[in-house]
Amino acid sequence: MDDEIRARIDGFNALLAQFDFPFRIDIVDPKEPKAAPKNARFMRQEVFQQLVANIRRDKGLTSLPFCWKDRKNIYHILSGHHRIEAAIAAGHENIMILYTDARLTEEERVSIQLSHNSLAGEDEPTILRELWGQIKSVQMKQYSGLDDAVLNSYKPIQIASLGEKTPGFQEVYFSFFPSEVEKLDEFMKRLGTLTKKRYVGRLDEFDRFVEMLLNFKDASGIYNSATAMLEIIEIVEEWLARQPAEVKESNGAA
Amino acid sequence: MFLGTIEPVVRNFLAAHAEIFRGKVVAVGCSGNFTSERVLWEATGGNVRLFSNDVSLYSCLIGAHLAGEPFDLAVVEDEYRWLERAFAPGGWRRIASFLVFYRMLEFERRNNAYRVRMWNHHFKEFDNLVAATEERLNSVLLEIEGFFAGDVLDFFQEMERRHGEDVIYTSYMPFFKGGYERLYRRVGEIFQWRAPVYPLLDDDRRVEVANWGADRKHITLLNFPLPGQEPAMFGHTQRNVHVFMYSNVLEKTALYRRAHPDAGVRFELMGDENWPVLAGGQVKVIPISPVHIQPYKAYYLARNIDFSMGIYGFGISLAGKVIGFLEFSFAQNGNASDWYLFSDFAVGQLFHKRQSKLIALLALCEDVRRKLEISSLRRRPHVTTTVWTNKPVSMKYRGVFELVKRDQERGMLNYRQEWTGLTAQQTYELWMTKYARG
Repeated sequence: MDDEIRARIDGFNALLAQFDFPFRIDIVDPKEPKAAPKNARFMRQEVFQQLVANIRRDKGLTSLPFCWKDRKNIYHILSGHHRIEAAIAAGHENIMILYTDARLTEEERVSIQLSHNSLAGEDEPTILRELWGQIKSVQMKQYSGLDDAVLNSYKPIQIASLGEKTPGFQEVYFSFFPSEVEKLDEFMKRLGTLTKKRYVGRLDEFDRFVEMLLNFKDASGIYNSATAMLEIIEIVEEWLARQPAEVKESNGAA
Repeated sequence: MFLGTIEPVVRNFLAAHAEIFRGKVVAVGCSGNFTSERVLWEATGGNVRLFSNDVSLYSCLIGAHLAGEPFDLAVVEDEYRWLERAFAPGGWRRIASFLVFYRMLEFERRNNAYRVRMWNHHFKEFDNLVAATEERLNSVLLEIEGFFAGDVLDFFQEMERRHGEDVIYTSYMPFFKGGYERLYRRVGEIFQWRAPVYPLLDDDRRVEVANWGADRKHITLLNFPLPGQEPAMFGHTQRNVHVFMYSNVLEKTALYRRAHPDAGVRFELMGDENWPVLAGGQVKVIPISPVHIQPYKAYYLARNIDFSMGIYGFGISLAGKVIGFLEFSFAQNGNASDWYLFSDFAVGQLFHKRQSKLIALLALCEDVRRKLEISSLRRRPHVTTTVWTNKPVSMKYRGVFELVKRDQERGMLNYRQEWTGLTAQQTYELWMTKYARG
């Protein structure tokens, strides 16, 4: 910054002091002020993008970040982390800041930082909607940071479907006893497809079932789980059909 | 079965303007599945004179029926002559039969057990599905005065010749090319009908249609902005989809932003007071709903990423404090049999400069693999991910994943890796040995 501008800023700050105004202003590179080591306040990506767009449109920040100037003349951001980050994203090389060079303890600085986020008002919904209704331009609606979904501007309309009826699916839950899982395991061995089977220690029943189903799907090349179950059932049916009648009777199938 | 461009927010916005359309002649270009017509009909209580237009067999068949016009449709493949019986009653019955058959065609090749099962079920249940569809269609209370099978601009010009200046021209030109090419081709092979000939509706043609409408009463929906014109509605509610509605008849305006889901759930993140737990800390990878990860993505991911949501989510904790998240979905295109690592990122106070590498390593651990397999009942031996960068490598993935593709033109790196077979805890110990102490 050239000396003339610096002199004018200093002159303005001297004027502020005459009015007992405790703060000063400065024009700085937005990359210069140091961010607080921690900041609890976060800004969602989409909100940040709108802030950047607004700064681009306004060609500057419309409210001043507040900083603390330490004894080494280094600025520390107390309020306005996202505004400064957005100004950088918007390509601004200079921003105006408000600062204090008062002696502040760390506790006081943190307290100021928190107060700027916590001492915020709320919107009265009816008045908010009325004000929103005054904005016709979509661009200015964007600028406001709100949208018609948040304000519930337009009631949902229900229309009859023009689509086809699709087959209904039903979810079926299987509960297996360990001995039943072993039986299914036996069927799989008969198929000769259980080449990748691998057990580590004693898994619970659910894990055993999943493992076998995955093995079957790998071996058969079937992707869909319900289709795989149906294939397994067919195998079981074939196996049952091959059993001698006395075995069926002893199983209660006769 | 139809991929439309009219999102619910657009429907609601149109419906809010019922009075503008009441009793008016409305030409609907590119009717698709007649969403706009159904909205205007419902909103005006049937007090609107609708004329529709499109080019696909689906739309032309329905449009002709709604307009009370004849429509010749013949089955030319012998294998499907049985459809003639289903088509014979005409009306909604024929349309219902066509819709169910169109759905069946997806499985026509019957080249795997799933397609065989789906085809057989549809075939067996065909009459029932048609009857249920017809019942549903019978509840559609919509009348249109005419249907034009052909180019949208030809349609508009024809409407102007017939109705003069009274017409409101609305166009909903398709945004998506869709994945229907094979089905469209098969439909063309199986059926004979008077398919319209029309010019390609590319961006230039769509601007031409928009400009033609701009000199008249119009509503035009596009997926790109028209320079120098302010839209009546702008919507960006889905990833990479921007909707611009231009109009000189709508009184209201609307804006719909992208809003990432947030169920209000927040986790206790690692803070700097927890750093001493690094050595000997217990790491866990816990399945969580991907919805709960979205607020953290909105904060921690790069500001310019228009992200969407994965299918399976995991929270990663160290000594009970969350240090990162993982999101997975199914890979597509080249590595369709892989898991796709949708996002992996560190959160909280950064406790180590290579914390991100720990998260990437944990994405390949046994705890994740097992939980994904149980959830999906599918084995996928590899994990794939993409990095959008102009740099030649990603330091985060280097040494963890294998770089399999570098596309400098698109600024994209593709990484792939097998599961490590290590538990989450073993992975953490490996990271401590290999990376944390380096």
